[in-house]
Amino acid sequence: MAAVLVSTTVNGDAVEYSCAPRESLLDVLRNRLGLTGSKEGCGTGDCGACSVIVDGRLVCACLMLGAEMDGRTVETVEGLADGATLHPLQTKFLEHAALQCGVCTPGFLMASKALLARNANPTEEEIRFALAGNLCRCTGYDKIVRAVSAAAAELAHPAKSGTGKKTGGKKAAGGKATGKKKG
Amino acid sequence: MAFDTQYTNQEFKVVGKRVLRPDGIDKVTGRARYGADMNAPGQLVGRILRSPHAHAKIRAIDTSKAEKLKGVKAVVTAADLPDLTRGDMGMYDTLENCMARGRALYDGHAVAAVAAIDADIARKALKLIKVDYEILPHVTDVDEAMKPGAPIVQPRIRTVGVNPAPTKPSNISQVSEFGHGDLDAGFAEADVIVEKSYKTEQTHQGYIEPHACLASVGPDGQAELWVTTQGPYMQRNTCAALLGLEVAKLRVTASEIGGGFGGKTHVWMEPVALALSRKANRPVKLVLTREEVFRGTGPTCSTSMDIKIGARRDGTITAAQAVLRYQDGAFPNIWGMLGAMTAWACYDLKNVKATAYDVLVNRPKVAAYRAPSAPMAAFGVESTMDLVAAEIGMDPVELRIKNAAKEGTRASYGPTYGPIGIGPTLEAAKNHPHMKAPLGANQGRGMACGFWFNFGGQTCVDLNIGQDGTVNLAVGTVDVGGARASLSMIAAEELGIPYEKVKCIVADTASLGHNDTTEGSRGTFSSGMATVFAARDAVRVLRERAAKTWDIPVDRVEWRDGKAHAFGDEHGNLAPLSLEELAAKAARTGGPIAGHNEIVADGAGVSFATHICDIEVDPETGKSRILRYTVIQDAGKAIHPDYVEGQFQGAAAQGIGWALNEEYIYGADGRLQNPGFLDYRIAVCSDLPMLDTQILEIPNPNHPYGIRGVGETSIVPPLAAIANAMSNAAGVRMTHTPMSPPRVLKAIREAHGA
Amino acid sequence: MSIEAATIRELFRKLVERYPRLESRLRDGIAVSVNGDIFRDDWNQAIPEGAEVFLLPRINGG
Ligand code: FES
Ligand code: FES
Repeated sequence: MAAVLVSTTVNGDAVEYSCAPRESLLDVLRNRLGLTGSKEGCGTGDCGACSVIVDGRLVCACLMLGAEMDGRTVETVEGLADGATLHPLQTKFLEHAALQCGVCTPGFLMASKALLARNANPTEEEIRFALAGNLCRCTGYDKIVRAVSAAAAELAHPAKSGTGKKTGGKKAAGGKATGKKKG
Repeated sequence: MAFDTQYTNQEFKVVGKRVLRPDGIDKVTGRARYGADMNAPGQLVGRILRSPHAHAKIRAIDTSKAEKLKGVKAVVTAADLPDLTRGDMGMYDTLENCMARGRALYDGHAVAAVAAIDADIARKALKLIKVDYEILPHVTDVDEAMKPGAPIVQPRIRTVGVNPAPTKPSNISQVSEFGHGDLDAGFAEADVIVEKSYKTEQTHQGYIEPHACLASVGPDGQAELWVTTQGPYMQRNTCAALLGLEVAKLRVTASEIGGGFGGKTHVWMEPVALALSRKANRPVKLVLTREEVFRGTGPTCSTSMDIKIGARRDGTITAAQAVLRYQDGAFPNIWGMLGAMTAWACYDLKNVKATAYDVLVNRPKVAAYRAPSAPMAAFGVESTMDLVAAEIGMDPVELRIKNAAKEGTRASYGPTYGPIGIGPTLEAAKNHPHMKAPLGANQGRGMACGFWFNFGGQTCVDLNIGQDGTVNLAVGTVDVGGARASLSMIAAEELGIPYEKVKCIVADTASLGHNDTTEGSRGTFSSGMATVFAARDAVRVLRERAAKTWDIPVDRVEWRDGKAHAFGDEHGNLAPLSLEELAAKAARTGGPIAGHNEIVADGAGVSFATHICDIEVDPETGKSRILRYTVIQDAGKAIHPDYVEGQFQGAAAQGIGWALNEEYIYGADGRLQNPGFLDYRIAVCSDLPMLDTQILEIPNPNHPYGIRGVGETSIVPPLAAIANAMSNAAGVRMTHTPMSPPRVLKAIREAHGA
Repeated sequence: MSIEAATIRELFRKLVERYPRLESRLRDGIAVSVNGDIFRDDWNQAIPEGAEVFLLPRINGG
């Protein structure tokens, strides 16, 4: 099978690669472009660990072909931060401890980015349904939902002093029992 | 809450704060490297051929065509992994499980493997391997496997634990029994006796990252293995033994781990990757597909059990009995026994017995899954507790409080408890606002308790102080959920320096002494203990250096707030020396400053949890929805509350998935029918509400900070908490997990028909 | 039964003296509970005066 030559834009950079016609976008990103931030949890479109944004649409990179990317724009987790400045979603995921093992995190970040692009102020329910295609086995999703809400708020009203972790805030109940209310 | 101050006995500066984790940035930017994210020059792609049969004799394997395919660099079968186990049956089982030896024992059992220059060629090569199978009768159900005349899975097995010792093979590998007192007398004393049978289907740990490794073996016997695992030292020791390598020459590096939950405490395809690499003389990357993860790596047991409880009208339980049947897959294990040990552990019982049958079936080798074996037994016991409460007209929480184990209780599995948390979690549940919240139509509330042991084990920690006074902490327990943050906090606390000055890494097996696998919730407990001692060791050195600098006796120097202070009449006016100052001058006071600790960090302390769950059941469809969920668990001491909560929430979510949806479905042909996340449905974001948590802190007397393991216990209560809630919501008692909509609907229809 | 022993190691030695058949069980791996706390490996663990000691199968976690 002849290789296909593809010119595309990945995270703002013009990129050229050749790939086999059957090769998935995920394999191209990970194996040819060295962008291993997108993960393969299933390869069948069921887990969302490979979520990337193509021409503004959230897709499973394992279900698209590398050959289809000619002339398109691909965004992956590696392009989320602006240089050393993290995207508010990244900051809020860290502050809210929305990751444990972190293997699902790149997918959740991209899916959340796509969500906030079309709905700047989602409710808890809207967040839960928008992220239902992304599996996380570690967190029980509670802290992920909180992080996405907080990032939405941050994007709407950026805090003046940056988004550094507050350790004296209401959640800093260091060493005390924490009874949290239903969110 | 009533328990906060009562049980908190130490003042901390860093511990207990919610700091940012050190590996965080890498994980939100995609830089963190997991099992499949590593590459080596000249690496090949490995792939495994698996048996499509549940049980078969392998007459012959013809690999000649595959070997001739251009681009194929190695093909291995059992012949390339000679038996070096010298009678160690546990090792032999591991060897046979990673590559079939003359017989396939389950659908998905590996029979051959290839290494090729790319994935396409590797896939083609697998198709060219011809395996001549003679199909044998199989059995996949635990109750069927116990019947006389069932197909025998392992002819070598004679049941252990029965008298007289049997002479014929059986699928029952072991019978074990725990308990004390006189059951007959206890049941005779009872006003009511409730007896019920339960079944739970097999579930998988479902970590999102499939197993993956990169193996490289050189002709001189030096080897490297990069692997996603909870136990790099376990990998090293097992792989070295199976391949005949010297332990010191096999260097294992644990990658970032994308979830394990017990499933990565075992060796699976790693010896095969090493064998391929040895034969091809090139690095081999072997990454399992999701289907292979389901078919070929360890799920938990499916079970069947009978529970019987006798009680007086005042709520006193007079006798309790459990008969448990756990299938261990195709290889003998002790999972049933663990179920029997945990079944009644929450209660103070005079007459109690738990009998377990460990049973072989043609399914994958069962692996540990978070508090292994405890959730199933708890499903039966805690469901029956609610039935007893209903029978005598007592509140289910009160019934449990009345019978709860306490300090001095003789546990059903033998020992007498020290200070434990079951009572406090129950009291907290009773007083929790959740208990009083109103419920609507078709809604119900349920609660249940859970127990888990927790373990310690061999641990080793190095703490090195750099010339600018920053600190490297090298540990050997894998960080499965934020442990590096907690351990850095402990080091900072002991040294009296800010958390940001400590950098914690997980060292490879060549850089640090042996560490047991990160299992049994031991990561933060054991490495935490070793970190405390390593830091104290470093403080001793720091005091010596300060004494030298000042030329005074070391017993006149104390360490406080990150500084050496001289004290006493003669020296009290010396200005304190900071860690930075001492570190900068280390070369002139005796060389590098470090602290070490090598211990067996035993005494992890048992842990208990109580969960409350509200559920709504649609009587038309049987579909249920969790409305509200509360986890109350004893943590000993929460080093980093965010990650303790995270463990509670994650464990509860896995338990909820187990209760409602997850199950291995086998066809009559013995093949797994749903080896993918589409048909094996784990809980997704829209299935769950927020998961409320309440951390209790009842310090563990065996740990300098009072830490207990926290990772596992909260997977134990959800099955029964949900069954109990469903019974209150829909008036049906579900006795078979998963309580999926079709099963619930069937139960509702039967209840109405009756 | 009651045995004089200061540590788990000493306890095991004395047990094997009394019950030689226990030796293989001890080698295969066994856990010990001392006053309710489980010790899997630490044979140096001191046994306090009058302590309750329990031999358990060696078990694993997840
Ligand atoms: S890897 Fe693409 S959805 Fe799972
Ligand atoms: S954090 Fe591990 S799967 Fe989500």
